[in-house]
Amino acid sequence: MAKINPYQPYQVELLKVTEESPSIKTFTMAAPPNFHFLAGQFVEIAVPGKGEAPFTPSSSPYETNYLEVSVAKVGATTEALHSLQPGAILGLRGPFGKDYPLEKFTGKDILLVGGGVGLAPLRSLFLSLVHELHLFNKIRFCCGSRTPDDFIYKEHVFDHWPKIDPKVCLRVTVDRCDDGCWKGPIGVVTKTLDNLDLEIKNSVAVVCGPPIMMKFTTFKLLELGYRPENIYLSMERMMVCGLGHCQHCGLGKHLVCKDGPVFTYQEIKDEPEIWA
Amino acid sequence: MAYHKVKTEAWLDAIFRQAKEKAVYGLKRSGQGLVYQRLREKTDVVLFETRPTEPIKLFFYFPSELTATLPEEPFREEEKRVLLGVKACDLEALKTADFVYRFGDVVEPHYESRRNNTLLIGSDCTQPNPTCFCSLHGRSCYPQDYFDINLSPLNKEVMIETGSPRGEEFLAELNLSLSEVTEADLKLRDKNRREYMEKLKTINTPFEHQKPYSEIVRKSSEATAWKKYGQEMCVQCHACNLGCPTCYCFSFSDLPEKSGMKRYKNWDSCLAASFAQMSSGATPRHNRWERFRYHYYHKFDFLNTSLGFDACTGCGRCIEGCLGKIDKRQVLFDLEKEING
Ligand SMILES: Cc1cc2nc3c(=O)[nH]c(=O)nc-3n(C[C@H](O)[C@H](O)[C@H](O)COP(=O)(O)OP(=O)(O)OC[C@H]3O[C@@H](n4cnc5c(N)ncnc54)[C@H](O)[C@@H]3O)c2cc1C
Ligand code: SF4
Ligand code: SF4
Ligand code: FES
Repeated sequence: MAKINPYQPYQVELLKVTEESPSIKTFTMAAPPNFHFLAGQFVEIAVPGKGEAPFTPSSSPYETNYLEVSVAKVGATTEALHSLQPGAILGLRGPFGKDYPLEKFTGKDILLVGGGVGLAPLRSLFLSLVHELHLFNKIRFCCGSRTPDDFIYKEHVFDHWPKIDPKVCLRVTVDRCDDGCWKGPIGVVTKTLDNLDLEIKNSVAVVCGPPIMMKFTTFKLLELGYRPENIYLSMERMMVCGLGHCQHCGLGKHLVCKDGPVFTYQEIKDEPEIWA
Repeated sequence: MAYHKVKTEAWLDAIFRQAKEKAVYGLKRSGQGLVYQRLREKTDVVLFETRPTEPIKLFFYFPSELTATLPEEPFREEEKRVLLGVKACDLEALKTADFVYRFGDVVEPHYESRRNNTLLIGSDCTQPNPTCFCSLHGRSCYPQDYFDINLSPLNKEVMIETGSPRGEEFLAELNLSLSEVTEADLKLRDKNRREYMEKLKTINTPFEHQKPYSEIVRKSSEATAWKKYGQEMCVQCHACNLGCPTCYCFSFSDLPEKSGMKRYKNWDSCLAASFAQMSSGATPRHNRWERFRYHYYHKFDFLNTSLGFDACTGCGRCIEGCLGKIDKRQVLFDLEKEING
């Protein structure tokens, strides 16, 4: 039997690059044969010879021909990725990690709270949810970004998604708007969590964003009555292997790549420095 | 599985015959300690004494190794090897690496191939180092499992204990005229072993502890000893990670090639500030003492939970190599004192 080398990337072609915001681009790449992921899982993408980094696909898991990742330019690998044109060859490993447990979401009100590039995994989750909308109750998608320009998936957030179904409602906010172009609410994303019109006792919340946003959102959700086991967090840690070997992603006794990246707050609340 | 004995000279002759056909590594003296050398022509080889300076992991995952390429190249099995004189602590260390790389959800095929193609000939440790503390872990300085063959000294003979079918096969290949082991031989071996353990006890009297190390570490998150050792004394030389036979952390370094890339897997160290640092600069362990504590958490708490024993063998290499002159036994001793108030 041929040995499988888990550190060996699969070569995929970059098909399309979409500029989402000044610092974030979405990369559409051809999916390898038999590639299948679930919302919340992540992949390792390599720019050959430049480096590799973990990203959560933002496309729908039901798309089997391609997958998309939305990437903020923050360092060596992401910078190299941002400089690429369609036709470039990328390395892909995965999918890795745990997905959002949709079977536990059925029949419930679902609250998604995302900020910045944290909207990426939530987009994939949102597309999974609307694919089988009949299984779920209300869906509230609360999105925040620093400025109106920084919003990603603008067309979807502002035009398409709010019109999907009466069960679905979007709430958007920006931290600030210097030129007055923004007509919506201004303030951090936790502000959108008041008067949710959800049955909290029968609801799950899913949060993804920068650590500080995750922290305050979690505290706000607890205040609103969400139980720690019903708050799902997508945790970020430094990662190398993505599959439980290298130990870079340790979060207390957990490995984020293997035991996560999706955790309930209940699972990790007693670990030190979870918001680092 | 079975016991035999043979004249030491005959054993060595047979090993050197093997060394002409395959890669056989034995111990030789170098500076203050022992190191492995590839045996070729007949030379002095140390069968017993103590563990080598270098950790066993050097044979199974390398400081830097090519681990993947783009485009992909076919996987190659590793060559067959024999390691002679592996001490109990290093056999124990392989249990940790096996847990991660071989028996986990995802197998590391290079490691697995090296393990599968390496015959392990253990031997009793007759002269523990001043930094050895396997005994404080409740372990012995003579191998009790995880070997293919183990050797114990008996005057001018060696006692051969086979521990696996592979070991039996190898022994048969050596074509030795083996003798039966007598009651008296076993008694002598056990008496010798008690003596080695006595030496260890003397070395470690100042560091004796009551609670298991795992319990001590689990209860001491707030102890001041972490700051004393981890902040004031640790100079972050990484010797305690790089020299440790159970440490297995790594990073990738991808280098560009004409039409693709070469990916190297390099040892890394959790003592390094960059180890857990994210691109934003945020890190869960900002202070050196937090990273120092994490090294203990990982070995004595997290891995203990998974393995059922500490991922520290007591080989003492971290003590020997520490540029900050930190003695792990003393740290653990001080932690216990603190939690006992
Ligand atoms: C589960 C998970 C999901 C994520 N999802 C997203 C997402 O959807 N979108 C998003 O924008 N961000 C996401 N992130 C964050 C993203 O992974 C980081 O922003 C990214 O790793 C930054 O990489 P960088 O190389 O640009 O930054 P740097 O700070 O330059 O490098 C960070 C790390 O990249 C690796 N690296 C750099 N150079 C090399 C090299 N030559 N060879 C090998 N490795 C190298 C190293 O491990 C290095 O330490 C996610 C993170 C996690 C853990
Ligand atoms: S921590 Fe020190 S004593 Fe324990 S196995 Fe590693 S090097 Fe040996
Ligand atoms: S060997 Fe000693 S000085 Fe070096 S990193 Fe480890 S504890 Fe610190
Ligand atoms: S990223 Fe390597 S163990 Fe999690």
